[in-house]
Amino acid sequence: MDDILLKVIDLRTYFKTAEGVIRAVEGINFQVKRGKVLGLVGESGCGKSVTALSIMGLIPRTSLELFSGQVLYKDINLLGLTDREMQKIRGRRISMIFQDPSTSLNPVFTIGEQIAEVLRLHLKMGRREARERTIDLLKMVGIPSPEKRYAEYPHQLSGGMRQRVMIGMAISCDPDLILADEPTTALDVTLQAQILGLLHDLRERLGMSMVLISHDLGVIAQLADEVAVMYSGRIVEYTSTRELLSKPLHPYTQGLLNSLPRFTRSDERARRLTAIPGTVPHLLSQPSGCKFHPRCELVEEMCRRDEPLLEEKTGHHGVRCWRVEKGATR
Amino acid sequence: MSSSALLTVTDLKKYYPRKTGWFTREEKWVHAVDGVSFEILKGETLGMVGESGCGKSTTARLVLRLIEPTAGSVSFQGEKILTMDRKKLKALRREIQIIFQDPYSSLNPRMRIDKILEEPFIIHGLGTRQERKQSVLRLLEKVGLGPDALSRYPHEFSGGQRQRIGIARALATDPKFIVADEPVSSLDVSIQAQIINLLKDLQEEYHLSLLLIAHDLNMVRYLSDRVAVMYLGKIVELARSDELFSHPLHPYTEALLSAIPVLDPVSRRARIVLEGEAPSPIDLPKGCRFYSRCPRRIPDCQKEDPPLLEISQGHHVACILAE
Repeated sequence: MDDILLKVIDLRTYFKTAEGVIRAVEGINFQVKRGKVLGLVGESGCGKSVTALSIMGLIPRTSLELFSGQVLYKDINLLGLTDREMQKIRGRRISMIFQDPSTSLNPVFTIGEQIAEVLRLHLKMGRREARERTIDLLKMVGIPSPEKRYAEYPHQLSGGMRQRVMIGMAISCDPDLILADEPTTALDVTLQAQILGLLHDLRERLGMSMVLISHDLGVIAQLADEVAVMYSGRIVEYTSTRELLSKPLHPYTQGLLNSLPRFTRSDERARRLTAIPGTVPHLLSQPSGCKFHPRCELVEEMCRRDEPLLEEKTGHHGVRCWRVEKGATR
Repeated sequence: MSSSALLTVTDLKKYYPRKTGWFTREEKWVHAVDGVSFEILKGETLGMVGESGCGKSTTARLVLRLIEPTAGSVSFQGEKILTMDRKKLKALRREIQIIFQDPYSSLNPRMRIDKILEEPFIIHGLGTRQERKQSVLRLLEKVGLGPDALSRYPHEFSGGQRQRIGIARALATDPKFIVADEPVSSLDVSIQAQIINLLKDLQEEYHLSLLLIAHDLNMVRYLSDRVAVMYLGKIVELARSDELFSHPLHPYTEALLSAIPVLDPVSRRARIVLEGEAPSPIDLPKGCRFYSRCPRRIPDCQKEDPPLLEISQGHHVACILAE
């Protein structure tokens, strides 16, 4: 189909470690439509960041035990490209925003030079043109007095400003797709609101698609059109954001939503939060069957024995759970 | 000041010197905490919110006298903490405890859990050896861990379990008052609710007073009886939790609350997005310190720093526009 920009098919990323093989991403499938935002939500170790790095081809091959599946960008399988071919796509067609803006900028170059370098490399711009375009970009991401800021080093900027610079760099070549890995996690709430607003505007104005990775369902709810919930390297629920928040079907998603205080009722403070018992399984010693079964209230024999598949239970609502019936509406 | 206050903080200040230039003698001061007053009643939880650098963690440390203040006073059950000698202070530390943000760096990696939990009893000379062992077991049970934890080291536990150990250690000396500095922010979402529930249970059971410092506003609202909002070293609003969240009066509080991401894709509501970032706490502006970012500012705001006034019963605001 034409409106699908990125299609990930059965992606597997396994790491070699001294203690054994870590199956960080275990056969995931999703697609990103043109101009839409897909949210990947999950807790630490669920494989959401590794998914993004896998798409970008940023995982050193030497650390990999297995790297398989397909990442189709338009009709090109990114996993089949050589490093040189991938370099032409990375930063140009697909770019990435990282969580921590203080470690992902180079401390010895001015922020202007760092953005201009991308433009000169990918778009073959001349020095002067790149400088002008960089100043435009800095203005676009809301950096005051961009001419002055151009010549400043990352340490001279605050965290929120640095994240704006990272976003400016990510959109510099007018990419089709941005992978944003926890773009606001390191920021305070009021700055988080600013950055989420900025991403929202840029997407409307430039028509970019985005994969938004976050552990925070609140952040996902603000921006994403569709959401994939990840647990232990797998997608356990996949549907539209609206559907997920109003009718979550997987016990893990339900658990996540119930464990947050929500002040839609006045007596919320009297309610006891329903915590999910236990802890996230270690990727080296995963349970048998469904990976969530040791923490699940609905567990039965089948869940311990066999792993369920991600199945469409109602229209456009995929769930990986034995206990959710087809046609279920919760 | 009411008589049932367990802790009273009056005009507390902490300035850090910052030298400028190589040869100049001129010193500048970072106004980390700049005149903070509040009280905590017996059995009450006071939440303290604000963005990084607003001085909330510094306030917590000052209250515990982990750092010495520049000015102001703190009294606990009527006794002034800041002028106490070492001996009295040590006795006081039985009554006031802290739970840290990071359960990884706040437990000694070389100590087994039984030693970590027994240490507070030894320091304060409580109980015989046998009694201490019993108490440690009881503490573990309280925080939901089994006796098999005793002979293990911190690295063998997950973040949530370590935070439980940190809480058990804080409870060891049967304190009346606990400071919890971002107790769940380093934990995974599915684990946070476990720890929040535990804190709530323990607070009810022991009738503890808590100073809860956090940036997660929903969590603060859920756990706190009253909430103080800090901005650049000062409290700008202080009210009962439900009151503050439903009728915020200070423009900063309004903006802060509107920035909370809501779990509802339909009502992506209108936000009050603040311009820019907080100014540096070194060269504070004259007048209201929120002036540069305030969406409702008027020229009069620059005349003087508005004091924290009680506008309606129990609702304190530092803003000349509040009525």
